[in-house]
Amino acid sequence: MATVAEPAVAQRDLLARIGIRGLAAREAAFAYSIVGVIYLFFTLLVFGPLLLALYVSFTKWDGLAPLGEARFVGIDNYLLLFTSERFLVSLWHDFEWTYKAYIGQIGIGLMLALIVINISRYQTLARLIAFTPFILPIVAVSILFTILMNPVWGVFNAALSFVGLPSSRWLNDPATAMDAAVLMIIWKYAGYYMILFITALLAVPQEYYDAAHIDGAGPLQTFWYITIPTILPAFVFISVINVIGNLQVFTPIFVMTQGGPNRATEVVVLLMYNTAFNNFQYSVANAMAIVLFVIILVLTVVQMKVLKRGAAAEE
Amino acid sequence: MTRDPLQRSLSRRRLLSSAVMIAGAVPLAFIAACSGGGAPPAAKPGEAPKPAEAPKPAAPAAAAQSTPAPAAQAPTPASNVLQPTPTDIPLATPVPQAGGTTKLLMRVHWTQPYYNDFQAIINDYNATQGPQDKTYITLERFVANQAGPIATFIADYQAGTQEDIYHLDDNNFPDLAARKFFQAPPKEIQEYIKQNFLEKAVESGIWDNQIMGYPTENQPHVLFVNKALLKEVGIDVVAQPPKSWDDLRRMAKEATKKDASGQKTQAGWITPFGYSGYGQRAMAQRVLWQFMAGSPLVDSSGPVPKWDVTSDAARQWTEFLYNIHKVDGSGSQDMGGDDVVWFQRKGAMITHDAYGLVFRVVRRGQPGLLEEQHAIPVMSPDGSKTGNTSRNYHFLISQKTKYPELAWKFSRWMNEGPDFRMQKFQTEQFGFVPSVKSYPMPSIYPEQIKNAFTESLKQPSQTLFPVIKGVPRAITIMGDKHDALVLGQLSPKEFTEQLDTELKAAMKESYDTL
Repeated sequence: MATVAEPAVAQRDLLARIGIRGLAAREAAFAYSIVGVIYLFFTLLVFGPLLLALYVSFTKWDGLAPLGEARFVGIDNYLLLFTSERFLVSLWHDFEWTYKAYIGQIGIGLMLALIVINISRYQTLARLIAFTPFILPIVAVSILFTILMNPVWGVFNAALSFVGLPSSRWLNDPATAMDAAVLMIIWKYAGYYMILFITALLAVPQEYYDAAHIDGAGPLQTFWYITIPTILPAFVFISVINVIGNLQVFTPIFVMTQGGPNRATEVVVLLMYNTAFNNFQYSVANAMAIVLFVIILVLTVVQMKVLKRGAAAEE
Repeated sequence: MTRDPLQRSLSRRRLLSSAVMIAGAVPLAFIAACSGGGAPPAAKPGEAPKPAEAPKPAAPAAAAQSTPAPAAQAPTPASNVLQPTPTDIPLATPVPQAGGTTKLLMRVHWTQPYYNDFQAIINDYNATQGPQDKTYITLERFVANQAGPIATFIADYQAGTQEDIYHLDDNNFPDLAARKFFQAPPKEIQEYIKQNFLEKAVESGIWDNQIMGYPTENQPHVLFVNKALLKEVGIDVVAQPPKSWDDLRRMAKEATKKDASGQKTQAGWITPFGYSGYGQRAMAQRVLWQFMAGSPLVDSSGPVPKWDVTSDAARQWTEFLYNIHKVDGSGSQDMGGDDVVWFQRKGAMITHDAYGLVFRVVRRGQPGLLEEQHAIPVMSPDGSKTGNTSRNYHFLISQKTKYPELAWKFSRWMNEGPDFRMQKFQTEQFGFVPSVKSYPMPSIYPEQIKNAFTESLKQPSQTLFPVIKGVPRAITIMGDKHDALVLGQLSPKEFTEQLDTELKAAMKESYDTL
């Protein structure tokens, strides 16, 4: 008569036949099989396309002909990029966007977090209000800000006029278009970073503050010597995701300015998109993507090393 | 917990007082700004916004049946009241597929209610002719923007999910045709198209000496002039139309208004700028105005087309733009997108495609704006000649379709007489000028505008939007340089040199790709 133990025994025998003996080995095999599915997924959907993009970046291909007809050109595409003023300027625009958005989103996010956790009433309402822009669709918000920033009848200029300040051309002036678009993205994402900082701030042990208070530390000293070092590990994560996201900006630029006026807001991903689909230079666009990937990777590693070193020193 | 008792009490007091200040002051400032002196000009002092005299069509389908707004009365000033945003309309339901029919896919870029009106035509086909042809047409929608359709076309083409039937604009047609995206129709269809459609509209769809598809409409340009705004500054454009580019420049200058702070509140010359299709329109305007000055923009007679932006004619148009915008300050480049300036009644003159009348003026313009429009054919600098350009979408069949015969049968039903269904849809729903010979102008056009288009299309001076590879990249180059010129960041000489260099490089790459 068959028993419950028999399938388990059969399985054990099977694993033994392929060299996996012992409980630890069997458990490890089980774990690897689960993780292996995820790695397979990652390989097919992430690593595979990345390798394909890398290959295409060394060819000349218009994106429509069969890939087999793509002609190998070596590093020509990369040489073209690094001698192209337009690409280098778009890289600079990416950095400009990133550092401005970084300061605004993280700075305001942290400030909002400090305010929200220190109020005892209506905290949930305050969080909700600050977080709401984040849940709005980016395209809708971009269109909204385009309307609000209209130089003639936009509400922003009306408000500026009302308080006696000169109006701005916002998105219609190369000198202000980038800042205008960054303003929108700061408004949209500050609440998101506020939530991340709140989580980090709430994890700071109260005993640290009690001890600081006993020692006579003021609010600023407490913030600088207790709060900041304690939330530094979380700050590493926040900083990294902020830089990764902002270096890949596309949608707000595409909707609000399409890179204009006069390429003043042309960023790398937009240039990549136009290069691929307007210019039929798929391989050059892939080279741009690889360059951007390498830059993001380097910045991520540098951030993590520098900030983690700071966190370790504080510990 | 992170709350220090001392810190909490200090923070709460400060935070509450700050919050009260912000919560009270900011909304008050906004409300006061929107309704008071700091607000942009709304209704003129003492003048209440007048209600529209003619009822606005509820949907474009209604516009096709309604009679044109009365023209006998003197036009009342257009109201500054914005039209309500139309509520979203659910997609129309397709009829069920009849047995024994083969499914073909067509994608279009229209939104409701245009999509629904076209679905009704497709439903008609599927219910009547379709079963006889053994064909069932499935209609889908894709997002259209400057590069939007191209990205989806390419992705679908590579994935094998491409449509069988395309409705494609002339910007992207040459690059895709050169890459064997489409298949040419049978000879008898090509002959039919040649016989029944306007010459330039047919020419815009020729690739490799083959007529590749039916032109579905026509988008010539005129200079739309707001006669009411010009009348306010003492110019009667009907009795004394402009006779030269100098006249246009003078009229634009006189029609420009600024408020006390120097902010422009009305532009004499509405210019494509910034986003909203600006590069395409900057190119289309140059194609026509430069041609009228004596030199076509593109010479496509050689193996690699040559863009002419350095000839006297080209420089004349460049200097005209520079003078209007930088020297006279009459342009709308600091007021936002050109279409918005137009339908918000903040600009006096705009060179625009025919579709602008329904898409912008009727659909989004303020009541009475249509009646204020007066069309002037695009002219040579001395006013001695007028002419026009052709821009078209085409009905095209995919190279990869498994059922070309069925696809062409459907195309014939849509595009050929006696019903010319596609033509009727385009003229009556969108207000496009027809591409079929002798087909009537859209019924919504006032008589003067109908006549202006008819006359300009009859003139011997007819040019064509370039039918060459690399047009989309040329459009973005043109748009960027146009921005720089109208902002005064480039002198005419610098503009000419930079544009010439970049267009040459773009052509070299476009013709080197394959």
